[in-house]
Amino acid sequence: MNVDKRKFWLVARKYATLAILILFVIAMSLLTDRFLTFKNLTNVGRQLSFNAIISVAMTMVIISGGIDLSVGGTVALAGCICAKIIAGSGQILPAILAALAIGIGVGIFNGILISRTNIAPFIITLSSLSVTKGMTLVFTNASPIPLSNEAFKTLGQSSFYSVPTPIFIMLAVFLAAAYVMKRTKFGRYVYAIGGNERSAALAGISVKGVKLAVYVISGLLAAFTGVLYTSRLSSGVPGLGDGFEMDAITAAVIGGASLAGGQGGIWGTMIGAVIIGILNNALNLLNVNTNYQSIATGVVVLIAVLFDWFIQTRVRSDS
Amino acid sequence: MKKLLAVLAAATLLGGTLAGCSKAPGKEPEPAENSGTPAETQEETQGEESQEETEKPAGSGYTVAFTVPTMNNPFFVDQIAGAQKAADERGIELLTTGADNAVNQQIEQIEDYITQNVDGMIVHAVDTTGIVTGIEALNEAGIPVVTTAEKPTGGKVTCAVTWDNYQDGYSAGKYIAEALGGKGKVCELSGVAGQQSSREKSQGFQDAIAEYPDMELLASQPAEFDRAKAMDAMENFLQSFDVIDAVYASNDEMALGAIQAIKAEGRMEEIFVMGNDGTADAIKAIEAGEMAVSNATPPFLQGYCAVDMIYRALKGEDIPDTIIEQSTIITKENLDEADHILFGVDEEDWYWVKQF
Repeated sequence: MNVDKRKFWLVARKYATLAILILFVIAMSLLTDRFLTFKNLTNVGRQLSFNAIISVAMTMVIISGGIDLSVGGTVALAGCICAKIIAGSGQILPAILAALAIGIGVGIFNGILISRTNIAPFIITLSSLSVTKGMTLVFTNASPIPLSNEAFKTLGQSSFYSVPTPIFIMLAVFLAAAYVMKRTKFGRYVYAIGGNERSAALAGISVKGVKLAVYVISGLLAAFTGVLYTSRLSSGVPGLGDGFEMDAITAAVIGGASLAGGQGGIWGTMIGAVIIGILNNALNLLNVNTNYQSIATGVVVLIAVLFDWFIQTRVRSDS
Repeated sequence: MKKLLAVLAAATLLGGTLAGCSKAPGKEPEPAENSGTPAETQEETQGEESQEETEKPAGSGYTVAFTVPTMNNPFFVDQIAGAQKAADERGIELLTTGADNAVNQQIEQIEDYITQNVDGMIVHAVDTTGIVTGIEALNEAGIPVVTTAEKPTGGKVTCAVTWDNYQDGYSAGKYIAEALGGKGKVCELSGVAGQQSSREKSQGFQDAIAEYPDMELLASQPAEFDRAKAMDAMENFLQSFDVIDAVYASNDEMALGAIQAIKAEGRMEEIFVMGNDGTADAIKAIEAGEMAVSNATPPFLQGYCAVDMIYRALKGEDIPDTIIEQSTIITKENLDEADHILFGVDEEDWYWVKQF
């Protein structure tokens, strides 16, 4: 097959999710005039920013060939620790730093075990999910921690030129991650390890170090999301974070990440996160029963991966 | 290329179909332009509606949204059925949604309803502390809010339709202790670890049991109001304890799960099971002699009452800021009245009016 066709499919693959997103936006704005309003779009932006931040880290983990199921537990634990310290002392910065340290700790725990053993990341992070969730319940005594600290609220509840602060934070995280993954050696190493761990090691890449770093980033961003959510809710909620790992994986997969590793991208994930956010919002606006929302999410994921598969087989057969 | 287009077309079609599952949005007022005062906005909305919506039965024309923690529980299905009945009787369009037991999702739903400019909102909070941001958003938008179950810890609630969880747990403990003659061993299946309502109910129950020196609480375990989880927990209890005189489950689903486990062990005769809520399945189990008693806090009535209260608030009536719900014990003795206790919403059953 000629080079032009192959090129076409590769480009098509890159923009497929974007095309789905655009179609989606058009469909929704035709179906309800409540959708394309500034207020609603900023709402959606804030709603999806939390999941989007976790999805960024999840994408890096998935590209490296792993998975991090522990993010939901880290969100809850870090959020509640942050709330507890603020409620007790009124000190915001130490509280945030302590929360982030917890995230890094969980990341180191996952990263060391995963990089030094042959145990599947799925299993290891599943157990740390369970541990962090349990720790949250133990140390909060399973009760929410209400906060009245006004200054701490600004992180999750304030707006800048009517655009909610979490949206800016999400964009900053995305830009940083996209830069790291595309323009730095570290980013290329992550792809290399996910693509073929053995050849990466033979090429002199410190597989253990890169893997550890990826899980630390994941824990850190999950903890940060926990802090952000705690500020947004003005309380530490022990039950927070349930199912966050699945939302993040969904966003990454819609965005073109392959669970086999080596494939995916930060911008694709961003589009994936936006699609999920808009889907939930649109279905709410259209008053679709919640029970159907879950079906809809599943269908969209399927469409995305089928589309991906379809184009991938084209590329292969053409080349 | 053709295939690519075909896939894209299919995706769009699917999107359309999904959207088609919903009721077509009933009203299409101006996009929310928050220039006017809330009251003005509300009037505009109503005015537009009465002009455009000719096919709708004559009524108030209010749109009220109701978010519950999850649709995957008969309690909330009944609650929404009650709310729907009240809404139909009053010509209210009722929008309902469940939040998958996640408070962040519930807040998102509230934000989306504010975007839709609903006239009133009913919230059954997943978490009374975590929901405050959502209640404040409603306050800011000038949308009156009625809550069911526990009152949120902050924000301004127009009317809280609430029950006293501690008292419910406490009277359940007393009831079981009296039924056992003040002497016996009990197990408890509580709700969700970390949820205020579960905590209070459990505390009430345990305080009551503690008042009887010969009553012993063998074990207490949260089973998340879930039948399957309660069954597992009960199986463990049955393995651990040779003598169990009674089980208190803070909802009927868990009581029914416990009964399944007890039946499997053949110890039904020996164990007194008490549930809470008065769901249809629980009534059947009482009829069959498996569940001894359910403390009915009828969700159908709760939903009905919530809609009635928001309706009164929207009409500008003077209403109290709290309604304490009634609970009624259902046993084999009063089974024939169960239907009326659980679903009676004729005007003389509106117990809340007496609290005005």
